[in-house]
Amino acid sequence: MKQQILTYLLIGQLCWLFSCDDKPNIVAPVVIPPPVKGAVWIANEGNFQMGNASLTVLDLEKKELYENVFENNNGRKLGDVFQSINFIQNLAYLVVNNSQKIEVCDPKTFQSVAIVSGFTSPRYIVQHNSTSAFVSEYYANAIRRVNLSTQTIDGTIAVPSWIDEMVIQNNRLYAAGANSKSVYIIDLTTQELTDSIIVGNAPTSIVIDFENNLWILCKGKPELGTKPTLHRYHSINKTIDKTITLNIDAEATRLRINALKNKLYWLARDVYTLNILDSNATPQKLVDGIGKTFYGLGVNPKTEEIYVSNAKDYVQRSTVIRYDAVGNYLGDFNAGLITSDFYFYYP
Amino acid sequence: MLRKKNVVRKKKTIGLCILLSSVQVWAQRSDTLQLVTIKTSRFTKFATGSSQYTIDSTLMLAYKAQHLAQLLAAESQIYMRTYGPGSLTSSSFRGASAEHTAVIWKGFNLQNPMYGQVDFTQIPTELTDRVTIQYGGNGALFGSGAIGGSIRLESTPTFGQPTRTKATLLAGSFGLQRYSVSCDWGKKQKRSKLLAYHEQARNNFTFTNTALPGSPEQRMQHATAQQSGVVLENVMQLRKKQIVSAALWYHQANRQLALPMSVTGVGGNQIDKSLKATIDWTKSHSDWLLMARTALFYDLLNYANPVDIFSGNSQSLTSITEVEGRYTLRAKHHFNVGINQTAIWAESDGYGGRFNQLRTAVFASYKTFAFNQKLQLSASVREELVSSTLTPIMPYIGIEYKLRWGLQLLANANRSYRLPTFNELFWRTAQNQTLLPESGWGGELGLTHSTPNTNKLRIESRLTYFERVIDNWIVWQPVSLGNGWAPKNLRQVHTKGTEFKIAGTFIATQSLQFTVQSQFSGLQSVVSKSNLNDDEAVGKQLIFVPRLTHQHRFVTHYKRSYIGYLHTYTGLRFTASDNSGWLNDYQLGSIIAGHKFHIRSISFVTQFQLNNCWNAAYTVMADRPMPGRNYLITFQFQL
Repeated sequence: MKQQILTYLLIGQLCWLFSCDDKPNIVAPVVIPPPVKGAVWIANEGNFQMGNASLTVLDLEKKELYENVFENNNGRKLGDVFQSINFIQNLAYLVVNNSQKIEVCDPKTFQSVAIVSGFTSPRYIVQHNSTSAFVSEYYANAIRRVNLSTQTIDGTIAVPSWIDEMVIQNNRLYAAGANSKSVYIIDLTTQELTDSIIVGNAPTSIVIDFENNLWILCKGKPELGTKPTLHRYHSINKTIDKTITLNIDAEATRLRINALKNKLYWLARDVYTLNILDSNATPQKLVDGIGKTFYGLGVNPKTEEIYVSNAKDYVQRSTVIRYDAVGNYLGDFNAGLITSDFYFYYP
Repeated sequence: MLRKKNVVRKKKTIGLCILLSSVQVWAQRSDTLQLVTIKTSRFTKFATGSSQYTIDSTLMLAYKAQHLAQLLAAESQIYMRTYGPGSLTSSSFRGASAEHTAVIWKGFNLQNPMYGQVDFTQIPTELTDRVTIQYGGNGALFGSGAIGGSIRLESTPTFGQPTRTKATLLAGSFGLQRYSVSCDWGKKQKRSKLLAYHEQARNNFTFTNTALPGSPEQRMQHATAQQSGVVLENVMQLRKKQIVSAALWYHQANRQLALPMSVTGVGGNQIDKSLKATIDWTKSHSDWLLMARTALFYDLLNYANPVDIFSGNSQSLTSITEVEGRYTLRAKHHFNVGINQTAIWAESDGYGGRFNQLRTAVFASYKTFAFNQKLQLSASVREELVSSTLTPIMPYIGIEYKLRWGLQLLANANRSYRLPTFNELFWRTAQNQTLLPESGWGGELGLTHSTPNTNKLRIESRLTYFERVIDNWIVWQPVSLGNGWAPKNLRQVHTKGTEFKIAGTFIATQSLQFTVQSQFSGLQSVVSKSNLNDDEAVGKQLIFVPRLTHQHRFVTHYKRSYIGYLHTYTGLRFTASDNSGWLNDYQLGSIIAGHKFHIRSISFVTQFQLNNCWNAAYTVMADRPMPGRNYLITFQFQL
């Protein structure tokens, strides 16, 4: 009996002392060739405070999809909450919000050549000239000026609100004051706040149309019964000459424009569009978002294909769905966690 | 009686050196007190057919002056999700979520009504004499929140014993200091206990920051934590067969919240304050027992971050009153009925106001014995009315049957549920949502084996298979694009798994003893249905739930000294619901050595603990580094 028990004990120990969990198949890191004719750089936010932001690159010529491109080419993770991408002077600026940094990447090697640090919570970067760019902040009522030669912050412009998207036109920086009802105007000669445009509740996106007018999308506050609004700011008259109240009970964001600058797209649970050539046109639902969680939106300036990400439960890989300009489904693919931004790069 | 004498004899011969033994030789002492025996809670008495494991006072001595988080991580099959030393540590019990573990103190559930969890770093082990872990769901006995299992913090009054005063000093790596003092005094029919504790730690350990270029060595910043508290307990026998007990526990903690590896900037600060007061009255007769208890819990949480819009205060007040009666018919049939009324008030900056909820529950249990006490059968049921809405009826049925050769068969079928928390119901963006309780069915089948007490070699083992399906699993989702989030009944989760535990004690001589214990848990907790289109989580393991864990403990006692090695393995945990991302598995080792001695009437215990002795680099939660090799020194004396 004792012998049996001892055997029992021994087997019990040995069986599990050395048992280990099987790892899923690990995809070997891929060093990707630089895209020759064009690529979509896709920002995947990742989960807040989990450090799992990633960069996906879709090579449009080879129709190859590369995931975790930054980590695979730099040997470290990108950071926490990858907010947006912009290209300035043939370098990719990857704005990593909660890591308080911008990774500057060479698009030929995908390797980081500089890190701009010192932000509070960077959101978007826009280029001013060959030596400077401006970065909006979330947890600070400030816009930072980045010196593109040294890749450092060399100035700050105080504003009354935190800022989301920005555009530059005629030496003026238009900044969407996301927790206000204003778009702030910064004179880039003096680099001071000079004026503001009163719009709807929570402006987040701004684009410039074919007549150089500004279109401003305000999220609204559905929980307070405030509808989203779309405004046109006439660049010559310097006034809001058109306001469209969007009769939907969801926040509206991610205003995008096509290459001809005559058609707007945005997200408000569904994908909406507005033909701005027709002054009587009203917003049209282009893609129904029922059963999906649309999160990121991009419009290819060459093909006018629309890229929409479905973030699903926000804890799994997003599906990026492609549509043509009139909303026909073209295909889809999986990107990283919470795909938020697209940059269409044509070298 | 003969059995008790054996126990006492063993106590004399083996002495005080069984400090780490899991074999519950000493636990039987409590049975000698008649009132305590009568007063066995319904959680124990009617949980027939459930796997239970008691970490008794002798084993807990090794974790004195630590928290329940460390104790459970080392000694149970519950996976403890920790964000780092001093930071929030919650539980995943049998593949369930952090809101699915009921923690019972003085007969009341400690789960916070606002966020539904218990932070196990905020419960000192000194609060309780022993910890009983009940595996599996049991909504009928425990009410809302007991889906994965339950943890009971139990104490036994020491009537008639001399006054005892204890002081414990603990020092450890990263600036850890802890001081506690307790005094247990009273007469034959009255007993009081006072415990006061204070702890502080800088938690400034070094780690390799793999998120930065060149993976530099860094020191953890902004992780200082301090906590302190006082517990006063009184137990009194009134006349004959009446007992009244009252407890008061004040606890406060002030923590800097460390940032993850890939985040820079300023972390937040959190202040927790809680005051818990309970009163319990029991009147017993030969065949019936009447119990009434009431509690008032106040919890405050203040979170502040200079740059975070989520800074704010929240506080809750919970009043629980329970009346319960038990009747025994011919010592064979046991009936228990009761009513529970819980009123909760809570306010939070996140709610934008104050909200309240009234819950009324009735519950009943029955237990019987047959075949010369070889068969035990119990059945329980609970029904709860929550703000004029009835929850589903919660039944439980369990059976235990003693076979030959020390084998015992256990089986149960149960239903369990979790009511939505206040955060889920009343968060600003969630207030217009219709949210149902999570609920579902589960069951387990187990076989236990133990060798007779008289053997020099004693072995206990337990093998359990369990299965559970929970519907209306709550997941937070954006209300619309932007900042608004709200919880939704999104999924069904199917869990099944196997647990195995074996513990052996070999008493070589009167002064030499070896103890070996292994625990193994393998489980699948997968999303079986989803209301989300194209949800690739379906068929995949839940995030932060390891599929495989095991712990092994080897301890040698020689006279008044002991040395032990503890080894734990934690399998990989997925960080994405489609299982596309995961954290690597890890193994940790720790060494505990101690010695007990007397100088006149004062007894001393010194203990040295080397944690993570192999200096493994690991993370429990994503992007949160854990400390490498570190030590603890404990010094305790008792008058």
